Amino acid sequence: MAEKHITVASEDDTARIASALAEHLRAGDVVLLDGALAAGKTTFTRALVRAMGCDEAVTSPTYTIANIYETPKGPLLHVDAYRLKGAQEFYHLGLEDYLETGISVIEWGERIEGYFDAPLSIRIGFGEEETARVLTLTSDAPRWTQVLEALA
Amino acid sequence: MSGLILGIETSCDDTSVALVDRAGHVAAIRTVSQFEIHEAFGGVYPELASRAHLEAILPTVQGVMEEASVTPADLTAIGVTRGPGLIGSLLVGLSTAEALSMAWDVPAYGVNHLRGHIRSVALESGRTEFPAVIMLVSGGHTLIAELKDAWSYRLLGSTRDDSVGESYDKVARMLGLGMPGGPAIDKAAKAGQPVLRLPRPMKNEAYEFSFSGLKSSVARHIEKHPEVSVEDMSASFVAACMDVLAAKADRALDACKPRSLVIVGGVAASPQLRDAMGKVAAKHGVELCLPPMKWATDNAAMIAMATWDYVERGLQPGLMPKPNLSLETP
Repeated sequence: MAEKHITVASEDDTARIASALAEHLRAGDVVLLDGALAAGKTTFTRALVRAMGCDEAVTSPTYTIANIYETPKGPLLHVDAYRLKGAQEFYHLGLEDYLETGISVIEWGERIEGYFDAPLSIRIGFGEEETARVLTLTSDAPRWTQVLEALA
Repeated sequence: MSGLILGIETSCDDTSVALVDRAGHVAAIRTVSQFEIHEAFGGVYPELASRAHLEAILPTVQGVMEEASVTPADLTAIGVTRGPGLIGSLLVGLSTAEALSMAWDVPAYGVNHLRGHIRSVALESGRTEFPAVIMLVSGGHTLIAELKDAWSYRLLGSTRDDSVGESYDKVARMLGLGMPGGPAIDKAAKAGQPVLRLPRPMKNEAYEFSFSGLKSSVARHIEKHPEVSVEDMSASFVAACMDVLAAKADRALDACKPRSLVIVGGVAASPQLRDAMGKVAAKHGVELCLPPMKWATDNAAMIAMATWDYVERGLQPGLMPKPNLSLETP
């Protein structure tokens, strides 16, 4: 299993990591984001959407469960799985098309991780300072081994 | 134009259907919450799946038609929420409207949910003195707009991240207050003092909102001081939210010089918000308009009311779901 820990000092730093990751993303990729409330899951997603060249307002998907951003690099599906009880409910949302044709970013992704074949998991933890965060990136899938090595 | 409009709203958790005439009289309305469906079927049905809407939609349509003794010939149009909302849920409403439209030979209109909130003030002889400033504060949305008349509006600002209702729910979760978070926080806040220093994100910037940073500050404070008083934290959080919302309303009343200030959305139930907005309205000498909660929260009557505008103006944006639809688009 590939694993990488990255400590970031600020939101801008997080955005740089997200941009670097965005370079490697392609249609069909699934990124699961976990971490406590207010850890910065939506902030991370916003940085990904920006890095993919889309200026649309990226707001929390907690109430709508899923938002879709049409970026120049293809659609980005932004899901909040907090209110889903499991993979079965995710299936009922009818979002499979986007999983294939776009890049999917799923907050509280651990709740439905069994649904995906080769996801990248990113856990965001609080750091020492107010704005610091520790990002832990892990995956079992070979798809992500080199990507994790490439990230600074 | 006489007759009734059948409104269908399935953008979030509730399945709602209503019949409304041109004057805003609600002939019938039925709203089924997914929670009830869940209960009725012994917990088999997923709380959130579009499938729950699918189970509820036709019986609900039939229910309102029977209750008001209405036949398809009495309908001027069908209006259905096309966004913003959850794509699968929107699709259930939209495809139902499309099928009924074909079967009954009644035109169907895709309607902006946010436009419905704005038109909700006209329901059941609700009166608004125009021009008005309207603030929509709910779980799904936080925005402020200027209404020149019933139809013309200008979006002043909306949230960049979380809605205010959502930040209430999330802070309630952090404090172990349970759901729904809004009333729980309000209640705890009344027993506490706003003694903790929390930020007022974007308070001094025009009309945009941001509640994510406030939520983070609460999370960090709780992490560092787990012993913090739930009541004081609630009171401090509510004070921060009210400070920001009141500052935006104050600024809008200054700039737009309206005759009334309208507050809609689930958070309009908050006594602290009603109090804060009452003060802002009084300061400017404008009327504070708080529609009844049944019209201020998601419902199909407001969608039907908004549909009359679409019919009269010949607006036909189509029946495709638009999950991220903004207020500026019909």
